[in-house]
Amino acid sequence: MAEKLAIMLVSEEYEKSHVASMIASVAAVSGIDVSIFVTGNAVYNFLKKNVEKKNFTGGKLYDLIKEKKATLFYELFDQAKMLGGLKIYVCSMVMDICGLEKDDLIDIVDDHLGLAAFLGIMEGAETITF
Amino acid sequence: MTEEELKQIKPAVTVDARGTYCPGPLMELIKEVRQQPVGSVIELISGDAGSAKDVPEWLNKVKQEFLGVIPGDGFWRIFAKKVKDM
Repeated sequence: MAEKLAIMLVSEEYEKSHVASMIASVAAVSGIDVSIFVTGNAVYNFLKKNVEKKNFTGGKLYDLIKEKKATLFYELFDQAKMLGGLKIYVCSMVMDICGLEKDDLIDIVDDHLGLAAFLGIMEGAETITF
Repeated sequence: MTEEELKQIKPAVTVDARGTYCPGPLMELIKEVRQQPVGSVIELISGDAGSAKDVPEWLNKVKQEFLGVIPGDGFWRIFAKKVKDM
């Protein structure tokens, strides 16, 4: 059985999305099936309008990442999708509450899912929450 | 391999990933490992100190061969050999 990693992304803090994308991309290119579940305020980091304007809730690290032009979290996720097995799902409940459509989300998002479906994906997977 | 032996190697391709941050150099290497035919030696030049430890770990995990590393002045030359398809 292939190894599985599930990452729950809950916080909108930029550094959390960034570290999640780093772990996810290295895991994905190491033959691990990675599933990301974006819920809570983290959804704001996956909205087209915020990504286009790089409107993220950052801190000192985010300022340096921008200054040094390091690869941003959504670019890391995108790379990981090209090179390995990585899927990104957004929580249906959050989409409902925020009145979001699939089109409001950046293209690297594969689908939206409810918790029962994501619990199925998490079964037997190592899970990390940010 | 010793540093002297590594210096004799003519890699199929050299990827200069200086200026990218972790995991950038590893990702650059992976792109080449995928593209090159089996048997190719790939050289990665990284300015990220973690790469010299990270890359051998990854190669071991995906069962490709790590040939060795030559430390430079503020960068590392890391040699990998593609031994199977991926």
